[in-house]
Amino acid sequence: MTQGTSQRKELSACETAVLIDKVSFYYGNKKALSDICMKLPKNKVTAFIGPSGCGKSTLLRCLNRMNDLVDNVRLEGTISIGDQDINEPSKDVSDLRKRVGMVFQKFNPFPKSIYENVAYGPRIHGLKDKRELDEIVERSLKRVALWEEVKDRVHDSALQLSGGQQQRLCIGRAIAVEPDILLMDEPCSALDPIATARIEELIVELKERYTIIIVTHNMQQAARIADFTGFLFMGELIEFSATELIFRKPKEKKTEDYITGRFG
Amino acid sequence: MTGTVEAGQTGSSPFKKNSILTSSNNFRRQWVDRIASRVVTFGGMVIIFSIMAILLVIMLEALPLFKSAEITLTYKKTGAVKEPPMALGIDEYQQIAYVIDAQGIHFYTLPAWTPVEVPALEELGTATVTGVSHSSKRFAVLGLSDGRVLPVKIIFESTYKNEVRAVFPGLEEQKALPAVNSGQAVSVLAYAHLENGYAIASAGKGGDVSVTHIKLKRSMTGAVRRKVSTSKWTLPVQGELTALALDESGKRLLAGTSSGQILQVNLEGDDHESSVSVVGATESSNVAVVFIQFLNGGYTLIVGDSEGNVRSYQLDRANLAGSLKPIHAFSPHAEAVTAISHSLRDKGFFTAGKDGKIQYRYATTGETQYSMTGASGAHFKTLAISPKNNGLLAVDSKGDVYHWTLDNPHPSVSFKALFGKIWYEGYSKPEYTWQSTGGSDEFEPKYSLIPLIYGTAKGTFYAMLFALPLALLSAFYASQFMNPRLREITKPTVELMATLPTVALGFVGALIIAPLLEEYFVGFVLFPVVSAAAALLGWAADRKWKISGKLGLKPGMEMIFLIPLVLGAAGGSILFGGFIETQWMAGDFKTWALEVFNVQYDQRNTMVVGIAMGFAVVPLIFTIAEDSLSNVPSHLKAGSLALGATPWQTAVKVILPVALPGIFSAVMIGFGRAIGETMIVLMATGNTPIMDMSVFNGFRAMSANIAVELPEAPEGGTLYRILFLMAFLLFVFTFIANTIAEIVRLKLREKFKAL
Repeated sequence: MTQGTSQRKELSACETAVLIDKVSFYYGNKKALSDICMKLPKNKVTAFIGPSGCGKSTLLRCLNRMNDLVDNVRLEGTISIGDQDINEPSKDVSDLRKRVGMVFQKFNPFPKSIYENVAYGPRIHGLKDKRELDEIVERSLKRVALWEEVKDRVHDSALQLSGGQQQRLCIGRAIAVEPDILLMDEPCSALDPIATARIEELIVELKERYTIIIVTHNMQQAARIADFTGFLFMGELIEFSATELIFRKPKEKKTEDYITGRFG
Repeated sequence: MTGTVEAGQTGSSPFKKNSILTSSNNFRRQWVDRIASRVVTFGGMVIIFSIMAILLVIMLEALPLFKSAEITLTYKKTGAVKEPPMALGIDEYQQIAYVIDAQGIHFYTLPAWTPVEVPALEELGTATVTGVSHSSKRFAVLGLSDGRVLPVKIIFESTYKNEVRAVFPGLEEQKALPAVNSGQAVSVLAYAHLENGYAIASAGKGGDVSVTHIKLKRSMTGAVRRKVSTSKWTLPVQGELTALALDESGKRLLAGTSSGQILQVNLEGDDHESSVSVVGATESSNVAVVFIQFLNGGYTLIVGDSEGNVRSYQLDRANLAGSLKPIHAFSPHAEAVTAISHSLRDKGFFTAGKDGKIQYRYATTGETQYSMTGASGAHFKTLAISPKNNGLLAVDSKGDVYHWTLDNPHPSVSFKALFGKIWYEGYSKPEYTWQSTGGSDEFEPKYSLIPLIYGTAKGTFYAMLFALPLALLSAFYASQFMNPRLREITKPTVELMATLPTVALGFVGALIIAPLLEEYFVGFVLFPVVSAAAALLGWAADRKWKISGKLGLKPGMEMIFLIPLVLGAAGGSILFGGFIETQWMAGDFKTWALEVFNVQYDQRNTMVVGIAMGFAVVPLIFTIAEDSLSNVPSHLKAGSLALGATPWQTAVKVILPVALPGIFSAVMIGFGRAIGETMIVLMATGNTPIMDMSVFNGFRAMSANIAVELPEAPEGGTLYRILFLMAFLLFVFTFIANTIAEIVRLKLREKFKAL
């Protein structure tokens, strides 16, 4: 209890990385999110949990405007990163996405070499110097603990790697452009338990440098790695607090039902 | 292993009790499954076999072109001819042969070689025959020992009795004519069939030649009046005269001598000196000319000499004083040539030599196709090819008679004739030419496939030049940037274009595009530039004033905003083109191009085909390329965009490389389609088989050529089979294009298979 309150205090004490203010989101006429308000803390791992279709992935995708790719969508409210409204029309979406990296559920390395995958981000942002690119590739792969495994074959196709390695490569690719925030959309759902464990370790290591926001189906995973957890249900944010509180002493009945497996 | 089997068995046992999955139900399901898979397999096999069968039929029709000649010695009679024969002949059914010797003309039945009695030649009298000019046209001119020449028509009458054909020979003597210095035996003769009569040139041993023109005039009453005119020439012959030939006009005489010279006499010349010229010679003065023979058509003449050489020359028909052009040197006989007999249907001929060989040559290609030999120690003295080209009669130095039947229906076809440069009759140099039919029987067919392959390549090239940028760029735009809702309308519409019958496209190309293009050519060329400029301006305006936003257009719908701009650009470029034409091109592009660049602009040109065929190919390439671009897994696109890449960067650097195999096969399939396209190239080009890469004139493609010529090609004939060969080539070309497409696609797909 005391620990819980201390962590809860921490949430308000933490520096805010993303401010979500009264955000509602519509696919056509269908409301997917309603009136979400939350402050996502900096250099922490925040997890969104909830049953399928609750809107957790939609919320995540609002943060780097990946929902723009979907036709006929509408967003109300404001999302601010570093005091700037990311949905402002004058704002360059490429620039936003450079600052807010994303890792997907299905690992998606490009059909290029390992090196080219990591170098892709810096290259499209205009970096041409070979030595600098080499450094970035090595540093990024070291951060995702892939360097030792692949350093002799960085010019081989990335598609030859195992699933876990591919997902780590995708994380490495995302951090190669030095984002502030890293969004992860169920990054381990396609991996076996051992590979999952390695990614989870990695996430915990990475939070020192990046604000990590992760969507997960796996409540144990959220419990293991997240500092804060938000529970979404039917497009609404039911509860958002320190992970321990959510799992040990949920305030809401729905949260408790979900966590104890009564639905979901 | 056994464990899993047991597990399977125990696992399946509960289902047996289940009422839904009864065994009869299961049985039926399996049967349906089995029948369905059989039907599908059968259908697939039928298609594969049908295609193979079509290919096989095409090949079987074309294959006889390359079959070597079949020569069968059907008949040989030893010592049948006692007197040395001077000439030989055979009727068209190969039932009667005749031999001309010193005593006159004798007929024999074939194959029994029993003499057939005909009335003796009255005009012959006590004289003997000393020389013969005899073509296979059933006309012989006999030179007599008393200095006269005797034209004789040889007649074969065939009658049918009890369905059996009987051939009765006969002779029709003309009046003998006085020839050289009276009393001197006539040994060398030439004869030519003229339009209204014939001409005879005759000579003795010296250089004196007399040329007689006999004009036949049929009067109103039906009586034939002969008008005879004779001129005498003394040729500067070194040695003796050995051969004479008269050309078809009867105005030119060629003479060969024992010293190897070939002299030409312009029979219309004013004085004797200037009319005679030396137009050719053998290797040395020791080598005598043995024969000079015009081939069918009167353009090409064959000269054989005493060293066994056989050469062909072309006559300069327009200029009576013109020289001979050496064309081919055929593979020589080892010893002196003795006889020649040429075909009346094509450019083939046989020569015999003292080496004992008979060789068949074809003058168009200069090839010697086959040879026969007789008994050792003997050589053939005289030859006669049958009028239908299907038999050869020969008599050798021992008096033995040989009769071969020949089966060589396509002598004019060889690899060289189809793909090589050939010096055709009447041409100034060797060329690739396609001209399959002519006005007369004497026409030399020109079967070079190169101009047609060239035409196919040209049409395909320009069609692809037009279609590729359009199809690929629009596929790229549609898949990557166009609003999905707009794409749902656009794509099926473009695909609908593919269902347009090509005959309609060809019609539009020939009757609408061609005249419009001719009139607004400059504007048309300007259009891409002007419309691109208009689009850029529109884009800039849109950025500045947010027009598409105000119009309520969603991202990816800018196209709608562009349509009026592009239409405006079209109008603008036509106006501007007209302005350019009046200002700098003296009002007319066509004359300007002709004057300045010496470029002839034809109304139905390759550009029209490029556009019309482009429209046939665009939907195909567009839809396959668009599919492969759209089928790039969306998580790759998302991955790139999430890194902050712009849609353009994503499209070029991630989507395009992955979609490349599909785009490549789209291009190759479009290419294969363009190669085989028929109606458009048939209708929208001038169909002239010329070899010129200019866009301003037409071409003739193989496919169009097949469509045009097959209906009038006699079945089984050379042209018919060559058209099938062309179809086979087309098949091979498209097969290669599609196979390359498939191989590359599979290779590249292998590379991306883990996606």
